[in-house]
Amino acid sequence: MKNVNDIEELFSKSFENFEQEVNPSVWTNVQQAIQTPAAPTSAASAAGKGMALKYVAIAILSVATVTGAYFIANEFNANQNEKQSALSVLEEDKTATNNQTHIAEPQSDLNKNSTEILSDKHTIQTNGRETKTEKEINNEVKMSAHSEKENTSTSTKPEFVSENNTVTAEKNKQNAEQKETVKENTKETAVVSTFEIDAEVNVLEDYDNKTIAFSIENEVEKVEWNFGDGNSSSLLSGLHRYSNFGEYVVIATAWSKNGQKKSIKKIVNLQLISSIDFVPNVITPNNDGSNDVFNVKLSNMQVFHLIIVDRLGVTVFETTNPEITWNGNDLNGNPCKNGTYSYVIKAVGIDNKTHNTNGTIQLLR
Amino acid sequence: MTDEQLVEGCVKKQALAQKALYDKYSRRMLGVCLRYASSTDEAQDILQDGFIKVFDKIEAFNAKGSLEGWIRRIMVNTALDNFRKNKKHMNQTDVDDVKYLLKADNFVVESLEAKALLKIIQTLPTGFRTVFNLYAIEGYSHKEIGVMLDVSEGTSKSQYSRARAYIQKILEKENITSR
Repeated sequence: MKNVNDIEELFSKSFENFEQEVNPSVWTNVQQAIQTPAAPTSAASAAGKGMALKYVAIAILSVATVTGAYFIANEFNANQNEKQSALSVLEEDKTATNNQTHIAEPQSDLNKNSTEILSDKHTIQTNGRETKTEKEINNEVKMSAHSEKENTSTSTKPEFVSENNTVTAEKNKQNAEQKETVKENTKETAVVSTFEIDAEVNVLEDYDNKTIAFSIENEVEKVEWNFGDGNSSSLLSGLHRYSNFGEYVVIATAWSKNGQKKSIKKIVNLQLISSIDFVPNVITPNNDGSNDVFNVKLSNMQVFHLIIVDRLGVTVFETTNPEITWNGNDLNGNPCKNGTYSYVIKAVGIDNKTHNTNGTIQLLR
Repeated sequence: MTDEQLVEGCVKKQALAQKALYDKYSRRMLGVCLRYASSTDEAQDILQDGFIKVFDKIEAFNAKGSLEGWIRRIMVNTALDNFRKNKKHMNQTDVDDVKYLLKADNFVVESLEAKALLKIIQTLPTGFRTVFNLYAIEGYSHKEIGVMLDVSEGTSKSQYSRARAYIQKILEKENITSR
């Protein structure tokens, strides 16, 4: 028995070496997909190696460009999808750089081309270093921007603005034109940025369906929740339990640090729904662990009545307790024969809805 | 064969090496894919696409790192691609809105703990499952998950805490763990 609070540990340990048998068709498909023409001959492979190295170099060069693009994209709050692809490229970048060093070493005394390629590589690596330095600067700037933020909070996104300005200062040494562009963008951002909030309200169905979890994900100075049942809260996130089912309008009003106010409205519908979720159509009472009993699955029922009859109409099973399942024996406890049986279910839910259904069950041993 | 030899063979597109590499890792990788899928079929589809990528990009593998870790990252990324693809077809339903029912009797505690846990994971809505996997098992931060799944960091956090609460409840019910 383990401590339930260590769910992360329980799962990561249990799955650490978890294996499952794979359907052979997967390999067949993979094999078809990766089938290449003929393998290269050994004579061609020497020349091929040089080419491959160049190819890697070019790939890295383009990766470096994309990496640069990533930081710019990040700064200008480009859409998240781009970030994602850039991130994965970043990962590949690391792999590719290391790989190249690995290949390049034994190559140097073999091939004339290698000198050329090595120098290529050198430029690229320098390139990579530059990118890294920029990243480091970026981080430092972020940190300083944080402290600035507390003093000068004129815009709703002060961090964003000051970050760009300082970065611009760094870049200034290299490129004056670029600076102009960045500055312009910065101004635009300052004007455009507005105070946005987003509220989340969820009904916790597996409690009593009367409790909601509410939360504001944005950075706000103050928030006021009105739950529509006369209650309110000023917590950023929490739970609220309604005393009755029904539809409620939840209004969250939030204030930003510089006094902007915004409200958001969410509708909460608290309903108990009763249903018959599943009725098996076959049972195999042979104690193999699967489908051994006739097990009806219900949600929120208050009244339940199940009758099972054989083909002659003789009752073989009857219960009003959904927890009691039919194991394929008749009322005297003798095993029923293979064949078709009929069931009738009459049920009433907590919401006073009646559920009447009937059907047939196949019994196989 | 060592991993190094396997990779070398795969780079040269030797069929034998490819098969050997597949045989060595496919079972364990299916274990990874299963956690991200709602069914075995879905998991095998991810596995298949993932291995095609592995053989396609084997040149890019860094010999100093762990081969298993590299393949595993490809599998996880393939699973996420799959998730993002399906997200488009879900009419942009927020993952939070997904309603579901967990029935306690679906989870008979089996001798193999991982199998029992897998059953629980597979019952979770896709959004919950993905976030839970990435955070609890793969060990990504909420910030990273936010970028990966195109959601906010806060959404990842709240999804995770809810997924965790549900799982915890089931575990207690099933006595897989005790407090």
